[in-house]
Amino acid sequence: MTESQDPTDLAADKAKEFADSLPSASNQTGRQGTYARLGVIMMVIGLGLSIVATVLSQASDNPLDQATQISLGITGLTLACVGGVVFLRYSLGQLLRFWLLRVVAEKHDE
Amino acid sequence: MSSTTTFCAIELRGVSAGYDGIEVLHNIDLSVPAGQVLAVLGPNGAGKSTLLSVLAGLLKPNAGDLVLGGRTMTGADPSVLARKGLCLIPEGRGVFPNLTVSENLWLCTNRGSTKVRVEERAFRVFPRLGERRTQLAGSLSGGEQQMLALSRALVTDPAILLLDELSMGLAPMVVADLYRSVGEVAATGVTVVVVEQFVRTVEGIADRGIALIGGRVALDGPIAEITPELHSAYFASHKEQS
Repeated sequence: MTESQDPTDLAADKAKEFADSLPSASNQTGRQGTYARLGVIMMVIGLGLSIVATVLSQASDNPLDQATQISLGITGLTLACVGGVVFLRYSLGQLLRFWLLRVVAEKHDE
Repeated sequence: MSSTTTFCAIELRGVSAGYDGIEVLHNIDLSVPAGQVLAVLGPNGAGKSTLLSVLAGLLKPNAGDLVLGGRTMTGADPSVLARKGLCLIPEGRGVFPNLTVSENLWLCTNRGSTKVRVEERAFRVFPRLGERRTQLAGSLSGGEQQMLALSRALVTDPAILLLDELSMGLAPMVVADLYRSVGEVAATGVTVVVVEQFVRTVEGIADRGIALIGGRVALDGPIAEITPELHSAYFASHKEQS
């Protein structure tokens, strides 16, 4: 887009560029929710893995098996932590946005 | 000013919308060519702000579609539309009163701009804001707050600009200044939809006007052509209500 460009073309180019950058409505409406759900799933799987690994390691007398199960347990805990962060990020993001809007609205009413 | 093309930046197809079961807009069909400055006129309660809310994605229509640049965006997340270049300046300015002028501008760096760049661009258009950069936005005069709201919109380099009663509660000279800036923005190829109650405030910049009466488009055409008919349209709607 140059300065010498016809204003009508400039406007059409700008509008087309905007339209091209838009995701489809169905794709982006639930993205936040999808990530939040993914976080919960990761937490559940991670915690489940850790519990299973703990039970298995206690049932085994073999140190090699126990080492494998401890690794599995740590992996599960890591997965649960990452899932928790993802969940907080995408659920709190939405919450904080509404909180900010409320603060602004209240300030306007004062 | 009259930069119109056949490419439609905004379209409403049979849109009906309202709040809590009360329908405010009834079957609105509207298309705004890219680069056009459209004035939405009408008395109180005609549905002007509701129309803007639908355009900005803040209000999902009960029926019909919102189409932006040929793509159906009904029910799209308004934050996504805003991030991509659809900018709404709501009635009542929409600045953060408890942040300084600079901090208000820094919030517009989400589209890849730097703090320095957004400040430069805003203060070039409105030097008075530069003098008040450390002042809380809530302590600015009404005109300055509107300048800040407008500059926040300009620095994001929008493709579509929606303005809701920019002139509300402001002195005529301030309004003229603000609309001069809006005209400059429109000249860069931005499609502008401006809501106003009084045609005089926008007749200098609008290419086309529509009059909303009772949630329906009563008049549609070049501003100069619809202006003489506005009084009778408003009066007729008032008589119907009473």
